[in-house]
Formats: sequence, C-alpha cells, structure tokens
Amino acid sequence: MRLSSLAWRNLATRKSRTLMTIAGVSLGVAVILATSIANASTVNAFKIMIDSITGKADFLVNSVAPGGFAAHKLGAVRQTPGVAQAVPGISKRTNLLFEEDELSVEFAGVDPRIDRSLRHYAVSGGRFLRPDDAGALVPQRLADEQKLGVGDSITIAESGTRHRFKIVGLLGEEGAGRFMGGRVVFISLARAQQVFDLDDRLTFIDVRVKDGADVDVVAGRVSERLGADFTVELPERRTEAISQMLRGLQVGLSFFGAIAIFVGGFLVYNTFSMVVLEQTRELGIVRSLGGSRLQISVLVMLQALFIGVIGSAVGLVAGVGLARFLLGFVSDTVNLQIHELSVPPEGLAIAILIGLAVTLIAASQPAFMAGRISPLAAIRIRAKVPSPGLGLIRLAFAAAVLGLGVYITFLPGGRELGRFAAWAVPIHATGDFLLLLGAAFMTPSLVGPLSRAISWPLRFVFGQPARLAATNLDRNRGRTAATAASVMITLAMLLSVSGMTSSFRHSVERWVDESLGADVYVSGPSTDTSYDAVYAKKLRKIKGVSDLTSVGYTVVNLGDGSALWRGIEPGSYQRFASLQIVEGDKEEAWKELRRDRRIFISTVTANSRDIGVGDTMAVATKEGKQEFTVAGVVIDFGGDMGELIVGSRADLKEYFGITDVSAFRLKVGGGALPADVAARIERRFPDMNFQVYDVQEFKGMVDEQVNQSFAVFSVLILLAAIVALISVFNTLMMNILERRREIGVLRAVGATRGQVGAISLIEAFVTGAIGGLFGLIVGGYLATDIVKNMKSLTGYEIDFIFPVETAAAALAMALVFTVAAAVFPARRAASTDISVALQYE
Amino acid sequence: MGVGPILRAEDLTKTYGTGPVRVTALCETTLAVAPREFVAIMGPSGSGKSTLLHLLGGLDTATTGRIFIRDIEITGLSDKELTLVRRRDVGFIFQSFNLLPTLSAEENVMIPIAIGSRSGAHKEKDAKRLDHLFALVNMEERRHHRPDQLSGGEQQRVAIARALVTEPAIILADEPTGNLDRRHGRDVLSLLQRSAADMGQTILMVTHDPAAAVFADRVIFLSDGAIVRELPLEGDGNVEAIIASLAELGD
Ligand SMILES: Nc1ncnc2c1ncn2[C@@H]1O[C@H](COP(=O)(O)OP(=O)(O)O)[C@@H](O)[C@H]1O
Ligand SMILES: [Mg+2]
Repeated sequence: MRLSSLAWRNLATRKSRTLMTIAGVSLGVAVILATSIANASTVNAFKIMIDSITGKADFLVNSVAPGGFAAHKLGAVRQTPGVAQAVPGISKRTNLLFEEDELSVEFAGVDPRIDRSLRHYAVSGGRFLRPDDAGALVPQRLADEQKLGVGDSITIAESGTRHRFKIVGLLGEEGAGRFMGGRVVFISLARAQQVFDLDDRLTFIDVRVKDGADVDVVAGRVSERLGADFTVELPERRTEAISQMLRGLQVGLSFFGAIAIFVGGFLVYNTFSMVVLEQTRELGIVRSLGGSRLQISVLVMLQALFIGVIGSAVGLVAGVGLARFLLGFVSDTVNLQIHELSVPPEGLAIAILIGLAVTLIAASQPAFMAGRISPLAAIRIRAKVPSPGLGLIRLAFAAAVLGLGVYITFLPGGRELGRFAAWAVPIHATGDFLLLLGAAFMTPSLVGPLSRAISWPLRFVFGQPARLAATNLDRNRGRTAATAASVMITLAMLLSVSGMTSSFRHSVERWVDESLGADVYVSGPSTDTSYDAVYAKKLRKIKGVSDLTSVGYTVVNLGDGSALWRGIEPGSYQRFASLQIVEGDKEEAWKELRRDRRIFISTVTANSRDIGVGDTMAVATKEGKQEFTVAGVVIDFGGDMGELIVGSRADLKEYFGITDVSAFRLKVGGGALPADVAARIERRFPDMNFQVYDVQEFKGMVDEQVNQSFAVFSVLILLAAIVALISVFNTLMMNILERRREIGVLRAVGATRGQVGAISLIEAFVTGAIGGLFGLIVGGYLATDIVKNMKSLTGYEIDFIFPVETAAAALAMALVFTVAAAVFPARRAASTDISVALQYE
Repeated sequence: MGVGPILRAEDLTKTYGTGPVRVTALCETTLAVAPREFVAIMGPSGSGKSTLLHLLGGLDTATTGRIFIRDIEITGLSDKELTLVRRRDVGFIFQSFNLLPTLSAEENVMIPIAIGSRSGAHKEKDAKRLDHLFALVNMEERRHHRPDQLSGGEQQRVAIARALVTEPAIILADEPTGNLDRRHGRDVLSLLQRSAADMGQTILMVTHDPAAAVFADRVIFLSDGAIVRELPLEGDGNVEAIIASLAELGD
C-alpha cells in the first residue's frame, strides 16, 4: 500500500469535511476569477459600446452648445484635407413609453444611405432603414425584453407630442446593436430631425480619415476649421476616460477578491488543523511503524494538493457563474448593461495559482506539525498535536505588517501623491490589505485576554460553563484566532463598505438639502433635454406651487476636459438654497455671481486644476475662448464626473446662446403636499417627457444611486461571511472532537447536557465577540481611510460618518450567526455518550 | 435487618449494537451493596466491569433491569434527573485520572460544586471544605498546580478529592490504580479507604490487582457479563484466596 492511498482514504472517510474544505477553496477561487472576469467584461463592454457606435470612424465632431448645429458644417468637414468620409448623425436621450413604465434609451438618427459604410448593422429580422424612413431599428434583445417584434410600434413623447415608430428591423448582438448596452433605437436622420424639432440640424459627425493620413493632424485641421463652438473627440480619449472611471471599481473588486481568498486561506488552515487532529492516532501509528516525519507531512500535503486541485477546478466553474451574478450589480453601478463575459486567460491562471498556493501554504503549518507527532501518539492515552511555538516571531511579524499598513494609510492620497497619483488607489488598497493581514496575525495574542474579559460577565449568568469556555478558547489559541480573524475580516469589510456608503449618502443628502432645496424637481430624461422658458410660467400656475427657479444646463469644453455648466438665476435660486460654499465669503460670492463672467466651481474642478477664488478659467464659448473668474468653490455631487461650473442663466444665454431650461425647481405652499403637486404636474403635462419627483422621491432616488454604486461589494462580503461561518463551525467541531473525554468527565461529575452544550455556544459567542469587536475597530479605521481616499480621488467633499447602526447590527449579526453555527456542534457535545467518551482513549 | 442496601441492581442487562454485531456486555446481573461497604469488582478484560459501574452511576442506561439508590429507582429517570443523581449521590474516579488540563488542581476539585451552582460557589464554606480535602489527600502544597505539573499519583489524589467534594454517598472507581506503580497505588487505596470510613461512604472499585482488592470488604467476580462468584474478605490470607478464585475462573 502506498502512502498516497492512505491520504486518499482519509479524505474519503470524512466526506462532509472534505467537501466543506473544497467548497471553501472554490469559493475563494471563484471570487478571484469572478472579479477578474467582471473587470475584463466591464472594460470590454465599454469598448464594444464605443466601437459599436464609432465603427470605422477615427474621430467624432460635436458642437459645444446643445441643440446641435447646422447641417452645412458637414460640407466644411468633408472639404477638410485628409478627410475620407464624414457621416452625420443625431443622438438624443429619451424615454420609451410603455403602458406601465418607461425605459430610458438613446435615439440615434442616422443617414440610411451612407451610415452602413461606417457602422456595422447586423439585421437579424426585418430590414434596414430606408432614406426618410418613418420606422425604427431596435436591438433584438430589447425587443424580446419588451415582447415586441417587427411590425409592432414603440412610442416616445417630445415637446408635448407623442411619436410612434413602427419597428421595421431588429439588430443582432454585434456592431451598432450593442451601442449603449443595447439600450438604443435607430431611426432615419430625416425622422429624427422632425421628431426632435431640429429642422436641418445635426448633433454629431463621425469622421474617417484617408488611408495613410495622420488622425491627429486631420482632427486638428477640422477643429481649426469649425472653431471653438465644436469639439473633436478621439475614441481613445473616451476609452481612457472610461478606464479612469472604472479604476476605483476595479481596485475595489480586486481588493475584495484578495480578501475573500484570504478568508478562504483561514478556512483551509482551520480544516487541516482539524484533519491532523483527527488523524493524530493514524499518523502516530504510521510513525511508530517507521514512517518518517517527511512522509507524514507529505501525507497531509497530498490531501491539501487534492483539495487545492479539486477546489480550484470547481472554483473556475463557479467563478464564471458568480461573474454573471456580479455583473448584474456592476451593470447598475456603471449604468451599462453588460451581457457578455470576457474571461481573461491570465485571470484563469491567477485564480488557479492562488487557489493552489493558498491551500498549500495554509496546510503547510498543520502538515509540519503533523510531522512532529510522536510515534507514542498511537498508544498514548491523550494524544496531543504539538502546537507551534512561534508566538514572538508571529507577533513581531504581525506588528510589522500592521505598522506598514497603518503607515501607508497615513500617506496622502489622490493628487497629493503627485507623480504617483495614478497609483494612489492601489497603494492605499495595499495598505488596507496589509492592515487587515497584520490585524489577523495579531488575533492569537488577543485571544487570551479578550476571551477572559468577554467571558467574565457571562460567568454570572452561566457559571462554570463560561469559565470553561474561556479556558478552552485560550488553549486552542491558534484555532480560535483563525476563526475570530475570519469574523473580524468579514466585519471589517462590511463596515468599510457601509462606512463608505453612509458617508457618501450623508454628504449627498446634505447636498440635496443645502444646494438644491426644492420640494418638487422637474427635468428631462437627461441633461441635454431642454424646454422652452415659457414652461416656467406654466408650471408656476399649477395649484400649490409657490415658487419656482429655472436651471439651464450645457456641457462646456475647458480645453483639458469638459464640465457641466449649471446656469441658475441667482435671485430666485437663493430662495431655494444657499449652496455649500467652502471657499470665499458667502454673501460676497453670491453678489459676485450676478456679475458678468463670474462662476462658482465644484471642489472636484477646483482640486483637479488647483485653482480657487479669484483665479480665472478658460471656457470655450460661442464667441471663442473666454476667461471666467471663480467667485466661489462649492460642494456639489452633480456635474460631469464631478466637474461642474455654476454660472448665471444670463451668461448661459450670452456665451452659449442657450435660453431653454433643462430643469425646474419648485417650492410648494399653502399647505400643499409635494407629492400632490408632482402628480398634478404629471397629469397636466403628460407628453412633455417631464421627470417629476417630489423631494422624498428625489432623495430616495439619490440614495438608491449611491447604494447601487456599492451594491456589488455586498455580494463579496456575503461570500466572505459564508466562509467565515464554515470556519466557526469547523473550529467548534474540532474543539468538541478534541475534548470528548473531558466532556464525558464533566457529564460524569454532574454537568447537564445543557451545560455542556452551553460551553460550545459560549465559545462561539466569545469568538464572535472577539472577531466582531476587533472587526469594528479595524473596519472603522479602514472606512476612514477609504473615505479619505475617495475624497482625494474624486475631489468630492465627503464627511466621514461612522455607520453606527450598521456597526451595531453587524456586531449583533456576527454574534447571532456564530452562535447559530455552534448549534450543531453544541448538540453533538450535549449528546455525547458518556461511557463511550470515557473509554475513548 | 437494620438498614437496607444503599445501592441495588435487579436483573441488569446491557447490550450494545443490534443484529450480528450485538454484544451483551452485562446479563441479568443482580447486586446489593450495603451502606459503608467497600466492594471490589474483578474479572477478565471485557467481562463487563466498566459497564456495570457506568450503569450503577447513571452514566449509561441499562437495556433492561432496575437500579435503586437508597430505594429510589434511577432507571427510567430523564437525563436531567440522572445528572442530578450523579451530582449529588455519586463520585467517580477513573483509571486515567481525567482531570481537565486547563484548570488547576483546586479548580478541578471545585468543578462539581461550581457546576451545581449558578453563582459559582459559597466562598467561605467552600474554602473550608477545600482545605479539609487537600489536607486529606495530602496535597496542600500543590493546590494551584495544573495537571501536567503533577505526577500520576498526585493527579489521582486530586481526582479523589474531586470525587469527595460533594460528599456523595457512593464512590465508583474504575481501576483507580491501573496507571500507578505499586507504592502510589497503595497510597491511593488507603486514602480511599480512610476517607470513605471518615465520611461514611460506600465504594465500588474495579481492579485487576489482587493486592488492591484486599482493601475491600467483599470481592465480586464477573465473567461474560455475569456475576460468577462473591468472596467476603475477613482476616488474613485474602490475597491468596483472590488469586485462587481468579485462577479457578480461568483468567
Ligand atoms: N460502547 C460500546 N459499544 C459496543 N460494545 C461495547 C461498548 N462498550 C463496551 N462494549 C463491549 O462490552 C463488553 C464489556 O465491556 P467493558 O464493560 O468495558 O469491560 P471491562 O471493563 O470488564 O473490560 C466488551 O465486550 C466490550 O467490547
Ligand atoms: Mg474497563
């Protein structure tokens, strides 16, 4: 008989244990793989989206002002040397109206005669558009979702009129059909101009350059020819901006993936300690029959290898499934439907490698200890697994890692890191990870004092069992620590995410109150929808409306990027809100804003350009570049990725030619309820595409958006929690297996079943409490670091809010769940057959 | 007849397992033990000695038959009631001492008391009792040592103190000297004999050693789960009589 068959048999006889460990490893591997698939798929989805609409185009021409530009500019572009082809288009965000609800989609007006030379349309049913076509092309997936087909109609409302489009064709899952994640409808340019009231105007031109021509040079020429009213955008720029935007999410996912496998590692360590414990006698026998230390260690490592290989294999399959699940959340977070999985080969390799490595490393210490089992173990009454004597070395290592982690969290973040700004997030994530790692390795030293302290008050309630529980925990310090560490990490993760969420939400809510301050919000489906200013008067006449202020939006070109311009009427706006002005004197600032070319900028814009009150900023206007003076810096969560300028509507008209209104803010009076007024507005203007929210709804929406941004992390936390619970269960089972005789003795001298069971439950409770309390501290600290980073990364002003309720709930949950995980082990202990346990030698 | 037996078993049978793996460990055994009596139980390995002791002490339940402690039947009691019987009326001593390794000698001795009261213990009274017990087992110096810091004989003396702490009427000892050398074994036995006499306790002790059995008032011989002979011990020549009985019973 070969040794390996003994290893195999050991695994086979403890099937449920083996399966549980495999589950732990595969969960870890699955999370690693899923996060890398989710990352790759997200980037890919954005790339596809850009490619799908860009097609063969080399760059895109847009006008600065909304409302598009005259079609004759197309001729100017076409005549520019180096341009091979210029294709016109119209792009508008609007809502598809269904009986019950609405769906926000992009409407793209294209020229059916030439558009296919640039973009690929995979028509999977019906036909392509004809010139002057009144019908629409809809992605097959969208049609299927809404149970529509060729010949059915879709409806939108624009400026008070409803428009119906007959579906003439369906688009497959490639090319143009994948634009905006399939949330797109193509119509003919002619119909688009008519529906959106654009006369002969366009909103964009796609340009392809001649073979061999330099794209940058041609783009420069076009830009020069069209002047400051136009922007020329290269696709790479967009891809870059998007990967910048996704970086935080990606680091977050990888961070939590790393933590998941880390917690998985504790489970493996735990299980193999248990395996060695259970096999002490067998291993002792092998030793007494002449097995060498090395052979014994190999025996254990073979089992680890088996579990690592199977666990990783299962993890790969599970990872793909999990990725699909995660992407559902990511889709919400990034606001793009992601249907396609891209599995990066290096992601596969890394997941397998980490799975195997973590399993083998975690098993190596128990394997080493197994090698040191004395041959006497086979015949001894109380077989004992040698315990590691690495206390001081471990503590020093833990302290060093923890110290390094804390040091890194003290480093400045974001732009303050200067040259390394791009690395700020990975650097801080590494610091946070080290902090967790160090804290985890600290736990063994805390188990003794903490278990005594926590169990002390329990003695008055449970008496002797509480005392015994504390000594049991201390006796198996390593095991208790591994379990408490899993709980600690899970809780720390939970707390850092909820700390991040609650801080963000609190700040956003404050912003809504102090910077918006309306009772009812009325706007279009996107910032580029606008309404004639006359609607301000019409809305004011609605019963219950006491005050109104109009806001106009446009996206402006700052040369080195873009920002949202929010044009307000200082007089009426001040009756609504005072804005959170963080720089400059408030009254002075408001006075200034009424003057020509005076603006407020968001903290994001101020930080990214390192400018403040009194500085000037160059903005591309319809009259060319103009300097605007900064009169105040405000905290604001609106804007184009935070980039925001608050100016007056007067300037909006003067410098951008915009008189239309994008949003109306209303106050109600005379005892009217905001919700009633909102409902009245919807009834009065059914086909204006108005999005009407009363203040409660508006806040709810904002909250939901914040929650959605972080929802993806909860899935990962849940997985870590499951692994931690398996650890708790394993540990308690081990504690019981190891102490069968002692339990027998206790029962013999008069302990009741309840008392013996209580010992396990108290052990679980104390372990949960150690992990939980430690987790609160570590998690609380991590949360402050994460919020600090989020602040310096985004430039948003975020007050750190410790999520007290979540923390309390999480601690309570940690206790309830660990105790719940102990119920089965406790029952096992309680039902110990006394006479068998006493003979068990 | 004065006082009745403190411990009585009627037709006690214990079987383990079912079908082909069924083992009858004890077969219709009847036994009565008088108060203050010291009974030794002998017999070959596997003859059912431990089983009998476990049943009498309420550690395990009999398949059929009845057990009485002071005329109160304990067979058929719930686990909780049995636990109370063990706590109040019975003290156990085992071959392998079975002290809890994480607790000191003193804490080990206190377990039966601590486990019986929620608030821990009645300080003053307990301290006196502990002083007395540790003096009795001659372990005053080592009260605060942990089991792994004690020799086998010392551990067994702590275990005896633990069995005596609740002043139970009955002490059940399963090969208490099995892991001790002759000299320490003798110490432990005379201690047991003395303390039992002191507190008026009844002792049932399983042993393989004729030299240990002579400490008893009576020896019961078990074979294949049944009592096959009883030997009252009086005067001299007991060791020889025991050896002769064992030889006769074919051990
Ligand atoms: N839990 C058990 N399951 C099955 N058989 C048992 C069990 N305990 C004891 N036995 C069997 O019962 C018989 C008597 O055992 P025991 O009372 O321990 O004997 P002794 O103490 O005299 O050596 C033996 O044959 C033994 O194998
Ligand atoms: Mg026995």
